[in-house]
Amino acid sequence: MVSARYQGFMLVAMLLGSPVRAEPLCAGDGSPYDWETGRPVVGVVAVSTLLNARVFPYRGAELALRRGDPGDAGTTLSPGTARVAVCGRLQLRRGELRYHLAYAPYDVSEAAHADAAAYGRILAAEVGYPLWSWLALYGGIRKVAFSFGHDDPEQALALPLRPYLSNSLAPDRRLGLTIDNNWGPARVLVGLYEGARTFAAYPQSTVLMTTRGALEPIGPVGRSISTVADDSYWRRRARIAFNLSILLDWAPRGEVPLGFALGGDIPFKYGPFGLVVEYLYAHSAPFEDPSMPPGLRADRQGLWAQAALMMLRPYLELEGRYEWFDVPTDERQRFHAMTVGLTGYVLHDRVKAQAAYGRKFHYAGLALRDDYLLFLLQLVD
Amino acid sequence: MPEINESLRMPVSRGEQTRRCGAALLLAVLGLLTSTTARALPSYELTVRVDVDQRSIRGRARITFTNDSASALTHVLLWRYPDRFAVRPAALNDYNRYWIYPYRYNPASLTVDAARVAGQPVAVTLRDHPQAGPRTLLQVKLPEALMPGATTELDIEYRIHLPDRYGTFGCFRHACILGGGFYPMLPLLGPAGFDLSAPPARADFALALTTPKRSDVIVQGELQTLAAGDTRRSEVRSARALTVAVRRPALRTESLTHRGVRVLYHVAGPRPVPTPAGFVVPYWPADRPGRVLATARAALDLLAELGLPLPAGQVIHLFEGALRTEVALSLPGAVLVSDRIFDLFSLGSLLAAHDNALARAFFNDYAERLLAGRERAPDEGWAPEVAASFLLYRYARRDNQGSVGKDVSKVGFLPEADKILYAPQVPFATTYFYTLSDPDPMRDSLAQFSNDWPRGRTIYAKLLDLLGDKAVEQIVRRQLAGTPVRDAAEAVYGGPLAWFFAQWLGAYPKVDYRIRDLRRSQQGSLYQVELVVDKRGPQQPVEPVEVQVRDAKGLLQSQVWDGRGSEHRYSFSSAHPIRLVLLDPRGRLVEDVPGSREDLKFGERLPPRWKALLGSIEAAFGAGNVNLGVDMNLSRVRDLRNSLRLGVLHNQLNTFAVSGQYTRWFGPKVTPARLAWSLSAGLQAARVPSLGQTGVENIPGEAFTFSANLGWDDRLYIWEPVRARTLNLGLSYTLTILDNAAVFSRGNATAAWQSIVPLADGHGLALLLGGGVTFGNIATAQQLVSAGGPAALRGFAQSDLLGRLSLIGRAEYRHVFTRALNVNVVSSYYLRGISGALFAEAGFTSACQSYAVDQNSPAADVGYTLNFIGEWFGLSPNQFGVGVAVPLRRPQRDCLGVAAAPGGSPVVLVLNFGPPW
Repeated sequence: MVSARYQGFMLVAMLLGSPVRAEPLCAGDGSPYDWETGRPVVGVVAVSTLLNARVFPYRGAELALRRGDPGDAGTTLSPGTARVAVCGRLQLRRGELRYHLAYAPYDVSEAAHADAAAYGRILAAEVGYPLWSWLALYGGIRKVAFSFGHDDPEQALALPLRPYLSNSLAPDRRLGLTIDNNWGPARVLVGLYEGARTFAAYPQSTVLMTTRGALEPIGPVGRSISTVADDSYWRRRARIAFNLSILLDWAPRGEVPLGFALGGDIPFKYGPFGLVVEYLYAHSAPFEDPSMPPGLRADRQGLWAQAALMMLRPYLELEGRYEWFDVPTDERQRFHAMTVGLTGYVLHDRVKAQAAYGRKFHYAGLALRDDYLLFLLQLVD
Repeated sequence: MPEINESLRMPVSRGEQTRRCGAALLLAVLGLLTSTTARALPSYELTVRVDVDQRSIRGRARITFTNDSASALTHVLLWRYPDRFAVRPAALNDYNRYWIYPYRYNPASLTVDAARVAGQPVAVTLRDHPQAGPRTLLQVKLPEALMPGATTELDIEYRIHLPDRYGTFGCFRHACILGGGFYPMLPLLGPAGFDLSAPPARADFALALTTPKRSDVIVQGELQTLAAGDTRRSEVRSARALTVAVRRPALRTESLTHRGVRVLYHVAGPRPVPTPAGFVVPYWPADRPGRVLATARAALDLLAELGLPLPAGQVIHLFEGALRTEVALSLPGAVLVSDRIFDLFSLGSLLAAHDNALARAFFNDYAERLLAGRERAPDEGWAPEVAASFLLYRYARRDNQGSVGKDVSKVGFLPEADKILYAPQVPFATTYFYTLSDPDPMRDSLAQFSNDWPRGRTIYAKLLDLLGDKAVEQIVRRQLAGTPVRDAAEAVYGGPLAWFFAQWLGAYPKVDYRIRDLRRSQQGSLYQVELVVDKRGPQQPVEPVEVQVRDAKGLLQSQVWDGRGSEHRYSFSSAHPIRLVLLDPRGRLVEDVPGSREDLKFGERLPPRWKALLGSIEAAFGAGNVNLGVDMNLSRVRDLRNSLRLGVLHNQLNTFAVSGQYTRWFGPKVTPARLAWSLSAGLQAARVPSLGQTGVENIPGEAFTFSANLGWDDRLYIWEPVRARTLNLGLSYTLTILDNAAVFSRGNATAAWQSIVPLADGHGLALLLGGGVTFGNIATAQQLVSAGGPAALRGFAQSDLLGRLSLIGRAEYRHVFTRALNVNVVSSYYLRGISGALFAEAGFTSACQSYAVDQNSPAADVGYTLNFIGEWFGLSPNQFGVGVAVPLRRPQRDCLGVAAAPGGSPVVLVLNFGPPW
């Protein structure tokens, strides 16, 4: 019989014993290699989990997950996501084999999709082989690199929710081939994927081609706008990145026009401050969030800017985001939005408590009440 | 060995006074000692005020010297080194002009305000020198003859206007570098009088330098920051010249102490940031100073390994400056390091080339320290570099550093890579592609400006060929121990080498080696090859000539002719058939004959190799048109006369076309890899689109074109031609077979003339006049000629201006905003400059059914493009242009079913990747 106090002690000891590093764990959308330094961060095998839960002390009467909102009007407490991942590197006679397996038995946003699978979601099932130190090939299911708002790892999110724009446009997990060309300050990920979001939709799948280019010429900026994990040397220097996202969605059969999305983002970091601005434009692109039925396509565009300020390193960070999102064919998805939040870090980002208030300003006026106050607690290890 | 003492005109402490007194005493004792062991050197007392912003120097020089000649002097000659730069150099060309002058050519000058001898005003006259240039000598008439052994004193008051110029004499962005020559220099005075081909005389210097603004001042490598109006005083003994750099305060010193030697590197620019190991390219700013110091450390290690270490306590000075033709240069007292050293893509061989170039300068500085005053005075310009080249050779072979040539060869199918390999027009080309002749086209250094001698590296290479590595090592060790290099070489050779030095100390001999009378035979089981190598040319040097053969099993045999005589017969036999014959397999011969119209290395490899390279890639967009074209050239390596082109093409009139063309080149050589005239014959097969809406115009088909072209193109540098004349005359016959089996045939004649006229540096006018006519059985739009599209009137689509006859005229005013940028985009792309082009174009197109003209015949547009001039990886030139064209007169034409869109866009976006037209 193990007491609750002992279990708590073990959890804290385990978290304290974990190394501090910038790269999130594999369950938190990290990879076996550090994005910024390119150094390996796992050995043969690394197991990780991520859990979070959401509490809505206040929610607008028309808040709806199905419309891309973070919760439903009638729900006060809900699990956010549960993930487990295994990743690592296996040494071969020449080079190494990288693998990444991740599974989410439950995810509140995924569950809101009309075509969500009952068993949850495979987040990653991929192997990779580096041809050279700077070029690796990957095959399998992975988080597709597209848009800063989408690529920000779940573990490191400065605000508990991603931008509406990125959720709507960026394909999340896809099966396909990826070429990762990493020169350090310049990185280009090119991928060719199944267009379908779920296995069930594969027979009607389109072909997705994505390119994500990241240019960090004067120092590492990374994928997250939070500065909690920034290296102390680089924090003293201003860094800026110029990133580009391109997506082509081609339907080999039928009359579906070629869909495409283009975007650019500029993240900037200096000391405790992080800022990112991203613009995305899409033509005839499918919806990736639950706001539209599967298969529906539309033009849309938007811009968002988010800032994060570490008020008390490494414990407390203040965040704010402005968004403009415009789907001309859906009045409900034409709005400006503001989100402000506060994140408390314990053990860097392993235990994270976040509070956020978000409100949309619809083109249609103030009639819609879909604002919310959200608390989120996240554990990663 | 040069010594230096510094002082500033400011209050000094008692301790400092004591220290200075001690130093002065020591200097006096040293002076006394040297005066008893060597003849007195000339001395200069220089008082100069350097204004970096005004690029001017105002100075007074007191020159004291003894007549060391055997006869009385009635006049004294002084070098006016700044006037070396008063005339535009002939070697300044289309591609190197921005490596010498950041903005435009601008002259320097030295003006003498007053001259006195022993306090008495004297007259001065200016004299020309055949190598140094017009008015580079100042002749001072002495009031009375200066007898042998007598001493006199000259006082010269002068002003210098400095040029905006990179390198060792000029200013760039509030920094001036003066590698000597900022004062009238006394030529070497030997027993026979003034020796005007030797470097200026070694001397003692006392300098008082004032700057009007707060400045960083470097004298013989030592850095000090001066407040506005302060004076820096320095004394330098027994130096070839004074090296001074003055700039707005920006320098910091990175240092290293290794094996007891201190290396100081004065460098400007931001402090570097660390880059994680394994990154292909570094973060900006990269740790380039760290690499410089690492090179110095490795060089010191090599000297220690060879048993030639620098004595502990020595200080080596390096400083950063705007230098573009060399990566590093050894100046008197310090090494000047280019501010672009290691600033390129992190390819191992490119970095190694920079590393070697810096090591070369470092070893040169080392050799100059050791050999100061020990070499014969006329040889001081090149002798230290003999030792330095030996050390560099040892340095480079310590680890396998790769070669830029080999690395570039891996992408040798790219046209730019091919040009870099065979006709390099890239900065630091001599650094990447070492040639034995080691040319410096500007020849502006103090060692070379007044003669036609090579650098010491060439002498080293020729000694190596003549005597071998071990003997050269003995020579260098003797040289570094104090024996003049000529004496050391003769001692090791065991005989006189006057012929050798007479042969190589001068302009490089013009010579050509040719294989002739190659005969293969078989005698019994032996396969034999006999051949004769001819030596041709106006000056035939005596040098070893090696021929190597390789048989079918890969076995190599070599024979070396000692080079005496004008021909030599070689005979090889092997148990296996001899597959390959190579003249000069190790690349030791430099061949050039005035007026030659071929690559003189062609024919020295039998059989020759073939190369396939992308001839050109065209990607041009305008008026909704896309022109895409790729062609590949096949030719034998170094064969300038024959080439075969295979191409594919897409444009509005050709859905897809494949073509083949043979070209015979002739006429004068424009670049080492291209002749001016060409005559071509070719065949093109194309799928042509339907262009109209009705009738046969709506039917696609195939077209076969037979063509012949005569061309002339004398552009030296296709990316930024200063002047050019091109002519193209073409004749073709096209058979078009539509998909409904209708057959049409037509002929085409085209002519184009282009000229680029320089208006001033950075400004030029490009003119083009061209036209085409089609005749025969014309029934579809695809058969017509067009005055629109990216290659003609850019404001129109090709289909907008179709007709049976078209004429176009283009005028483009090209101007450079800046060519002095260095914007580094992750070490992969470097933006070097921005230029603009204002253009006006007019076209005249006949009707489509006839050759009649009407009010819809003329068309015109104007526009402007902004061009971004850059280099891929810091090496390969490229250009990207973006602009707009505005149609001024837009005819409404309806041509065999193809009608121009009504209205049309008032502004057309114009993009261009590649060289300008």
